Amino acid sequence: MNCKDAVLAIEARLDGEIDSSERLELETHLAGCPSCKREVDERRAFADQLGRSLYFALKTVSPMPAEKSECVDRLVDGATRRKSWITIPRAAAALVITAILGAAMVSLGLLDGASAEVRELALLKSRREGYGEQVVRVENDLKKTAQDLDARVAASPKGPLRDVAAMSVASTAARLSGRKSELLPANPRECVRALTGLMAQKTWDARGRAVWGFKDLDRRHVVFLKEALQDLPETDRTFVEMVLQSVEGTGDAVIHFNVVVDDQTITLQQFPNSTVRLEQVRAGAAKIRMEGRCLADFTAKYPDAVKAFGIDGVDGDLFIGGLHLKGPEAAVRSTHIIQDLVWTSEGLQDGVVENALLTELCQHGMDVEDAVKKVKATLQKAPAIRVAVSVEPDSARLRRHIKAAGKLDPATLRHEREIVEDEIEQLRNRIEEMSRHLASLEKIRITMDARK
Amino acid sequence: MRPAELTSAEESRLVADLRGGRREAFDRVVGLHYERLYRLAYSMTGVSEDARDLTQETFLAAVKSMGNFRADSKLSTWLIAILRNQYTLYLRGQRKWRHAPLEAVEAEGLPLQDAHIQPGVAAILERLRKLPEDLRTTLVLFYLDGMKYTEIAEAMGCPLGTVRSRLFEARERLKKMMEGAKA
Repeated sequence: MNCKDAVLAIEARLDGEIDSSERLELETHLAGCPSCKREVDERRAFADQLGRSLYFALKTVSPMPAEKSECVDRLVDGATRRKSWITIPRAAAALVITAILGAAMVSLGLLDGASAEVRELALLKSRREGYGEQVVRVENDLKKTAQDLDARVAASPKGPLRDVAAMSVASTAARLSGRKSELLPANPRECVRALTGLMAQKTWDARGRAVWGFKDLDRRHVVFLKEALQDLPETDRTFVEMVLQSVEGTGDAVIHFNVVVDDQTITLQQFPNSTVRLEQVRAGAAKIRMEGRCLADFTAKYPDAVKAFGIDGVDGDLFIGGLHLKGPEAAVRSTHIIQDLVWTSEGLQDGVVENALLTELCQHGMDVEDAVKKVKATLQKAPAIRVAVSVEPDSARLRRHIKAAGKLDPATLRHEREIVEDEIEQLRNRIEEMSRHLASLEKIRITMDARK
Repeated sequence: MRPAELTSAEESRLVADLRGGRREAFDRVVGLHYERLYRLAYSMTGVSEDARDLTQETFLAAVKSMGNFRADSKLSTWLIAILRNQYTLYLRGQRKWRHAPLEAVEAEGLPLQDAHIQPGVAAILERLRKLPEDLRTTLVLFYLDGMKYTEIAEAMGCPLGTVRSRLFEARERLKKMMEGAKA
C-alpha cells in the first residue's frame, strides 16, 4: 500500500467502511510510515468537526410545515389527471419510437457500428430536439391567437363573452410565463402598483407573472385595485375587474325573490359573482340551501329542484315558475371562471363559452330557444382539439448525437438517457397543454365573430 | 441519526400502493422522505423556494415513473437519483418551475441564502455549495443521512471506489476553504 492509497484507507476506516484485509494492509503501512500515522489524528479531528458542522447546518434547514401536504395534493392531482388521459407508458413509447426511427436510420446506414445504448440515446436526443422545436411552434401560434383575441376584447362591448375572452388571454400569459410567482411588497398599495407595473411591460412573461401575482390578493387590496382600474388597457382591466369581484365575494344579491308556498318559504338569489342560491325553509325543519357557481352549474347540480320550481333563463335574467327576475344590466359576472381558466390547469371547461354566448344573446333580447340554436350552430364551426405530438427523423441531427453519445461511458449513457426521457415527457406534456389551450382560444374567437 | 427505514416487505407494499395512486401511499412516502430530500435539495440550490420546488418535482417524477422502480432498489436511493436528475434539468433551464429560476445561477458558488439562516450556518452551506455537485451530494448523503458507501453508490449510480474518492476530494476542498477563510 502506498501513501496515496493509505490516506483513502484512513478515511474509510474513520467512516467505518474498511474491510478486514484493507485494515490489515493499512496497519502494516502505518507501522512504517510516521507521516501517514500523523494523518490519522489530523483527519479524525477534521472529519469530526466537519461532520458536526454539516450535520448541525443541514439539520437547521427545514421545509415549511405546509409543504408536505402541498406535495401530497400535487401528487393526488397528478394521479387524477394521468388517469383521465390515455398515455403510452414511457418505456414502451421509447421502444416504439426507437424501432420506427431506428428502422429508417438503419436503412440510411446511420446507425452502423453504434452500440444499442448509443443508438437509443442518440435517437432520444434527436427526438427531444424535435419536440423542443414543436413547443416553440405551438407557443408562437398561441401568442398570435391570444394577441388577436386581446384586440377583439378591446373592441368588444362588455359582457360575458368579453369576460371569458379576457380570462383566456390572461390564462395564456400565465401559461407562457410558467408558474412563477413574484416577491411582492407586503404593503397592499405597493403590491398592486408592482402588479400593474408588470402588466404595463406588455411582454407575455411579465403579464403572466402579474396574473399569477393577482392570485394571492385579498380584501386589503380592493381599494387600490379600484384605483388602478382606470389606467389599465381593456383586457387587463376586464381581468382585474373579475379579480376584484372574486375578492369582494358574494356581496348583496342583484336578484332576490322570496315567496311563501304552502308551509315553506322559497328564496332565490343571484349575486354579482353569478352565484345562484336557493333556500327552502319549512316550519319546524332545518333550512335547505342549494348553491351553484352560476345558473348552468346550479342546473347541473340540482336538476330536480330546477324542474320542480321551474327555474330557467340565463345569468342575470332568471325565471322561476314563469316569473321573470331581471337584475341590473351587466351586474352579474361569472368570476368562478378565473379559478378554472387561469389559476389551475383545468382549462376551459365544457359549456363555459356556450353559456357566455347564450347569456349575451338573451341579454340582447334574443329568445332563449333561438339563442340555444344559434349557440349550437356557432360552436359547430369550432375546430376539434388537435394534439399533434410527433417528430420527424432528422439524419443530420442524429449523426451529431451518435458522434457525441459514442464518447460516453455506459454509466453516463444510462444517466443521460433517464434525463432525456424525462425531458421528452415534459416537452410532450407542454405541447399537449398548449395545443388544448390553443383550441380553446380558437373556440372563443369563433364565438366572438358569431356575435357580431 | 438516520431516519427510520421500512422493511423490504413494507416498502414493496408501499410501492404497490403508489402505483395504484392511493393518497395514503403518497402521504406515507412524503412523510418518510420529504425532509431528507428537501435538505439535499437545499444543499444544491441554496434557496428554500427552489429546494421546495426541486423536492416536489422529484416526488412527482418518481410517482410518474413508478413503473421503472426495480424491486431490488431502495426507495430512498431511487428518490435521490431522481432528485439529481431533476436538478440537472433545472440547471439546463428546461424546467419552468413555480418560482422564478435564479437568473444568474451557475452550478455552484453564488451567495444566495435565506434570511432566516444564521450567519455561521450560512457560511458552511455557502462553502458546501461551492463544491461540484457530485462531491457535495456525496458529502451530504454521508453526513446528513448517515448513508453507507454502498447506498451512496447506488443513489449516485457510481462505483464504490468513486464514492470513497469523492468524499476524500470533498473533504480536502472544504479543508482548504476553511483554512483560506481563517488566513
